[in-house]
Amino acid sequence: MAGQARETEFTEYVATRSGWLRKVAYLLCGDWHRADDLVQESVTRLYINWPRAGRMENLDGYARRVLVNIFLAEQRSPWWRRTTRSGTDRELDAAAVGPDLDASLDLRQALATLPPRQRATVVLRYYCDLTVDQAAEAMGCSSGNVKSQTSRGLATLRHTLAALPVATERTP
Amino acid sequence: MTTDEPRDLTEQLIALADQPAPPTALDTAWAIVQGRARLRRRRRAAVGAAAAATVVALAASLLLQAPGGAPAPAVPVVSPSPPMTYLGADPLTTEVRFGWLPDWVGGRTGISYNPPDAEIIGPSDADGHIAARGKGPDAPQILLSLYPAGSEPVERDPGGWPLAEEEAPPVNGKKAYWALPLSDREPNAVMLRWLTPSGRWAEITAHGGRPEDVSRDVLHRVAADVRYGHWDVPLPLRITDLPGVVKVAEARLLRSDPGTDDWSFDLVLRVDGRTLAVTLRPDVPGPSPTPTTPGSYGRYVPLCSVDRGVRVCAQMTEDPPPSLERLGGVPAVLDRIQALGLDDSAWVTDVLR
Repeated sequence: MAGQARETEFTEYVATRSGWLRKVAYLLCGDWHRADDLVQESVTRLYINWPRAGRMENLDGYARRVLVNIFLAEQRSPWWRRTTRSGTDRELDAAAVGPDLDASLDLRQALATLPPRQRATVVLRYYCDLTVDQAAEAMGCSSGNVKSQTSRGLATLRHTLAALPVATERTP
Repeated sequence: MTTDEPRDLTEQLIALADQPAPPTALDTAWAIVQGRARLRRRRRAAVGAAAAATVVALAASLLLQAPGGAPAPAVPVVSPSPPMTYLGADPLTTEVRFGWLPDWVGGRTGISYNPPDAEIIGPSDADGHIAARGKGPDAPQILLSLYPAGSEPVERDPGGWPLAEEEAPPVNGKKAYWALPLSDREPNAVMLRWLTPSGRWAEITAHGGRPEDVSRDVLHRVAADVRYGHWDVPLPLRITDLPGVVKVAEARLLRSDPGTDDWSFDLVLRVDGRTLAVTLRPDVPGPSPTPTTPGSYGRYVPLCSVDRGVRVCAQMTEDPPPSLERLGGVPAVLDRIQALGLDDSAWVTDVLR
């Protein structure tokens, strides 16, 4: 069926790529539950635009762009500013945290100190491995803006991580 | 750790993302339900804002049914059209039709009618389209859209990526140009835009198949023979005595494999502002992507019946309003729908009776 074909393709794509999208969302927001919300909204919009999105060669890039746009838009909304908490507020399930995760937790704390656009550039550049130009396209801004946001983001990360003695104390 | 080395940061980000995580709460079925509901809402808004001047229109019978449920007399819409005020009994109409088409199109069974449905990420203004497609997987397709009067095409593709403009030979003496992707994301995408005799912009995009199936020559010839006017689209159902509280909001007919029973018809009904989605599809074996069990969010299981080889399903996307419950709920609506079978020569335009 045409409608069925649309939904089957969409469902297959989400089944295959939602894990990856969820990780990107988690790095953006620092909270798995919030990441689920972001991905849920992203795939809903993806479904709406599926007749065209589904035939794009770089569908992953499109999905990622939708996700980043939703993340940045929510950060701007008054509702989000009222209700959001820092990325370190919700701790991971204690059972899931082993000693080898200390450094990652420090990074999560450090990422949480970044303003949204700096955080997005860091994630897009260093996790998604995008070029400056590709990150600019994904965020809908100039390459120069990505460069400056990246530079500031990295500087903040260095500063924050240097000020986190907890990591070295926790790490055996 | 240090962030001096990008590689270090990349490794740390990967480690952070790969941490044990709670089970995902993602619900794909709910995304589909919500996506459909948003499409319906946007189309309603489009109709209300007179933006329904895209190629495939919703005959807004919700506005038009006379008291007692009888449709008011049809009033033809002439192109170039004012804001649509359809008064007909067919919930799906179109303002353009294909004329000449390449041989790979499977005749009328290869034509889909799809109202506007792009989302907010850089869509063009011409969201709706009719589509002509060939047979089989990765078949070539040509999508035809008509922009609302006064609306200019945007220099972005549906994904929001910028497009470059390249002059094309005039279409019937009117200005035309090719819109080409600047990035390599869709290197084979070709889009032809031209001014129609009414002064509105039209657009053809093509994809799939072999390059020669959707060459520029082919697209230009298709564009030159597009017809403008107003037509009712034959549909695979009749609805009798629809209660006044139930309004038709939108419709679409999709075909994915010409000459086969590979089609679906979606009808959106509104009851006191809440959505009841009706879908007709050939009743064939195989899993259905339509949610058949409640997801983590929902209790909105579709109610289905089979009539003349067609599976008819109706599903609320929200709690049924009391007005619908008083009428007998979703079953009462389903009972008023008569499927007309798989043979599309028996389909009708007087759907609402």
